[in-house]
Amino acid sequence: MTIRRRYAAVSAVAAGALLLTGCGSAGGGGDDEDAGAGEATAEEFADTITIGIEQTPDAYNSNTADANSVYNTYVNNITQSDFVKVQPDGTVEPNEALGTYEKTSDDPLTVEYTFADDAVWSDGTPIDFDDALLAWAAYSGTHPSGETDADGNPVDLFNAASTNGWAEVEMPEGEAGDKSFTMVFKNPYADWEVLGAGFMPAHIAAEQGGLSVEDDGAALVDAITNNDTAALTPVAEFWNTGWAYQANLPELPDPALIPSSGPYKLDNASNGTLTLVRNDQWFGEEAKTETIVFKTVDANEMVQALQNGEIDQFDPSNATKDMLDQLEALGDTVEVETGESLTFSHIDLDTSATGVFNDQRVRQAFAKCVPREELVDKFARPVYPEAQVLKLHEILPAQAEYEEAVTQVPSANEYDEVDLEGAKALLAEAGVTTPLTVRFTFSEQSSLRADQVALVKASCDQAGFNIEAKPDPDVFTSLASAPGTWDAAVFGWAGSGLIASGQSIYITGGNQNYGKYTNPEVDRIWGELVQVTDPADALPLQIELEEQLWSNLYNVTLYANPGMSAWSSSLEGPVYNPTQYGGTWNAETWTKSLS
Amino acid sequence: MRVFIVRRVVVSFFIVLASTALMYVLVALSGNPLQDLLENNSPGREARIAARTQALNLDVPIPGRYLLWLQDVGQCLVPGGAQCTLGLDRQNRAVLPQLEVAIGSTLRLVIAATVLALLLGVVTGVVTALRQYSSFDYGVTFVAFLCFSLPVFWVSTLLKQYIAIDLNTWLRDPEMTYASIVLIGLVVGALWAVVIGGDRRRRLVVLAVATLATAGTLTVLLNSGWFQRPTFGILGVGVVSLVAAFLWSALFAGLRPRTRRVLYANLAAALAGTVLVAVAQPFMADMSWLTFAVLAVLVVAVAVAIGWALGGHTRRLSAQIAGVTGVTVVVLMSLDQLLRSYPTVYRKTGGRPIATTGSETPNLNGTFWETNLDLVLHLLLPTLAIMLISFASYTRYTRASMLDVMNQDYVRTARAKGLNERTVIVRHSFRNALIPLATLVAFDFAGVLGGAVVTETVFGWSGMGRLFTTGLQQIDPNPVMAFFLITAVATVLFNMIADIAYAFLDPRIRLR
Repeated sequence: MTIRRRYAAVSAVAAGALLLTGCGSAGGGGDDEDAGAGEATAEEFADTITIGIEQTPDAYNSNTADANSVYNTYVNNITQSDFVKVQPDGTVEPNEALGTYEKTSDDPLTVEYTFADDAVWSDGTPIDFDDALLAWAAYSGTHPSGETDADGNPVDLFNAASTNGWAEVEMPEGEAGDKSFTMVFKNPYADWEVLGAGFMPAHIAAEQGGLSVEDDGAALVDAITNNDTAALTPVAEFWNTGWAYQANLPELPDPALIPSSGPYKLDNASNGTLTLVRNDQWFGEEAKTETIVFKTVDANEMVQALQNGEIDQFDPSNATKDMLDQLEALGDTVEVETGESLTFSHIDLDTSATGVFNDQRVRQAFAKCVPREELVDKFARPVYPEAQVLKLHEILPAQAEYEEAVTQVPSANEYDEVDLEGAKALLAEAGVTTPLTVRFTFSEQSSLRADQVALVKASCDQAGFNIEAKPDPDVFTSLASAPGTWDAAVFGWAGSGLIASGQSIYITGGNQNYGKYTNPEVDRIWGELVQVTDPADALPLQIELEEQLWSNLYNVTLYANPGMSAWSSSLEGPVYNPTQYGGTWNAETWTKSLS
Repeated sequence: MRVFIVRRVVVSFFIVLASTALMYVLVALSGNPLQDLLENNSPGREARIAARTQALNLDVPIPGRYLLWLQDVGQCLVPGGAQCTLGLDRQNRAVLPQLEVAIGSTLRLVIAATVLALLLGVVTGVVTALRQYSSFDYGVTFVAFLCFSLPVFWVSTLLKQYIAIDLNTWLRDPEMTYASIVLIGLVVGALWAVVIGGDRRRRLVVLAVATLATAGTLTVLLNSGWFQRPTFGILGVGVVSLVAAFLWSALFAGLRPRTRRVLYANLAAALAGTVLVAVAQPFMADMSWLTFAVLAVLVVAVAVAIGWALGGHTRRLSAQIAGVTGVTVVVLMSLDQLLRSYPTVYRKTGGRPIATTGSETPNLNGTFWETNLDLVLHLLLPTLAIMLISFASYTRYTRASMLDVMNQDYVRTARAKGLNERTVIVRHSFRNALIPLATLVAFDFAGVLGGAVVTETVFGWSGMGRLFTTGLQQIDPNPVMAFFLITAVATVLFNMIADIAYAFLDPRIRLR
């Protein structure tokens, strides 16, 4: 009895306490001082913006074969200046801060470049002729080291990522200290405008290579002009490896070795985090934010890091619906912009003499039964709702010219809708026995590609094809070196927005023309296209090329892969940039509000 | 003993040698190291393939490459020989500096977690053993198995959401309804009630007191803005030290008249430690690891000296316990200083101090305490994640071992000769129950060096686990082998240490 009564009393007290306390709360109200400070600085901007990247940058010189990664580009966008700035829509705009350029002749193609008078490296050394000459030496592939690689090809002193374009340039002539130089092309080169890029500090390379840096780098200029291999070898050695960072970026090299030519300079690094600060010697418009930090975060952890304010912006390398959902769940604290990237998915066909698709009518039948609209719906629109069926090969929806160009290629519109009857008729006309077996290969690691092949099979099997899925762990090697083992293949090409770079995909005998497509008209157009020197002349040729690729069917383009960029809504300035320069192309104009 | 060690070292050497050979061959055969270049059609392809072939010696057959690697390792063993690099990775960079960075990072990440999990696991294990088949025992068993079966990446995501993102948001404006304060109080009270146990009346009292104390403390802390400007203050350090001194004395010496002097000596040591800390306050701002170490040693030494001086005929025991009290004072002092630097760190991290990724806030440029608080706040989530997993096994092992010992004849004898329960448990059971744990701990410390692969990836630490996975993904044998060399040697070495410790701790075991 007593025990029960005691219980009752305790329960009553507890219940009463609960009732009393149910609506009140302790704490809160915030710190007065902090609140006041917040109001006072509401108009001001934060002094640091943090950008999430998936891998640590691995070198200051991103133009070597070892270090040609997109994460170095993200940093170099704002630490190194080029004569041009590529816009998100692929158009090229001159960067007047570094200097000016002018095409003075079409035959031979001649371009005169002039560095701005006030253009200096962040250590105060003027940017001038020796920097330009070193760029030519490094990228032209004209300095054999005397060694050969395993296949017997000569190895260049400079381990450049690419010699495209520069290889066509004659050695610029001039004196050390000149602020201008001239590029004369042996053969016309369509993308000449973007070549005025990739200048590394020549005085550092010369000094580290044991050359004198007196007289504006006269020693280096002499060594290159006289092709002095002995003097150039240590310089090239430094150019190749001296600007590399340690793995996972525990610290930066000596700051004296990495002067910048952009709005920011490298300040410090630790544990994979790279800090840039405003370049006080910068000769262009001053960067808006004092400090930019690049922080390495695992791809799957980006969203939570953004949510927790540890990063302010990131470009996922693989934009998925899942990630988009997570970001959208964060509401208006985060802004997401999706779009069509420069990478596109397509189905290549084996059109060689022994290939199933040798007959144009079989190719057309296949194109008619591929459910392109459905594929876009399932694989592109979840991320980018306005994604469309890709109708061109060399001009992509992210580029400004796409809309206009696509209206001038009538044949590109013939395969918009699935036409099973038409496909059957074409197969009958071609006189093949149905069901026609097609070995459809794709990357074994990709469940996305497997799903796509299944969709194509569901549709095309009704039209008289018999699609056999053929997953391959190493699809590119098989495509290139095992002809006859596949009939169709679905994969992506990373477009560059350049005019000339796609040649080897389409011309007879091209390296990446895996299906052995051959069309004399296409070969002719490419021959003209790569030598065009005015971008305005390129478009009509490209339209002509597209018409050829569709009327004499080359492959079936599907869609431009969706891309994404996400940033905190306190950030002002970022946009989605599908080009290879990525989101940081205009990071010097970003601001972050404090409220 | 000496024969045993020599024999073990020789055998171990061959075990490591054989396992490295096996590992090297497996890594080398796990794929084509040129894969990414073969898929690439950019103009520099040939040059890049040539460069990598040379870096990885791909023109040499695999056994030859293994011998080359052995040669690289040998250069590290022979003093004055060629440069010690442990080989080059595929980008022609020396592996040794990468290994050094990775080990440092991993140790910082995993040591705290392992030690904390060990302490917490052992204490919980002992208590569950003493309260066998109680609701607490069942509860802990349930939680232990639950934690043990959780996947790390999932726990990590949850931790990030609740302990980092949501807690950060809460900390911006710390507020709690009285209802939730009472609820938290009740939960904590219930926990204490089942841990302390006893009859119904005692449990109810414990429940009431603990509930009131918890809820009251929370209310005071919230209303005084403690969560914005947390600190213990010297007074807090002093009071908590005195309480700790009392508890340590009660636990290790008992409160009988015979050991009363131990209690007094400890209280004096706690007081003296606090005074020292108070005197040292001006030095706190410019502290470095050296001054910190000096201060810590000083506090502990003074405590031990006082324990010895005032201990009377129990001076040995008294000095030992006073040492523990001294360590407690140092820990409290550090906590106090870390808490005091919180407002600055809060401001410098943009109001979101608890991090979900990385190991430090870039460009913090803080004082000793600010930098360390930032490190602690970055370590918080990964430490919790690792602890949740390893805590489970420690609890179970300790419980089993403790129960086993409690049923031994010598424990019954101890009880029969009239020793009180505290002495039976602390001196006769607990000490012996720890012996089997020695093996486990030795094993775990070897494992610690291997890093925590998933945890490192999820929380953005580039430690040993990262070195291993990246190397393996890129079919780059030398970083993988560096990782393997460390873990293999550690495993073999700690195994040997465990065996020796075993013989040392348990006189029934002889090494032959």
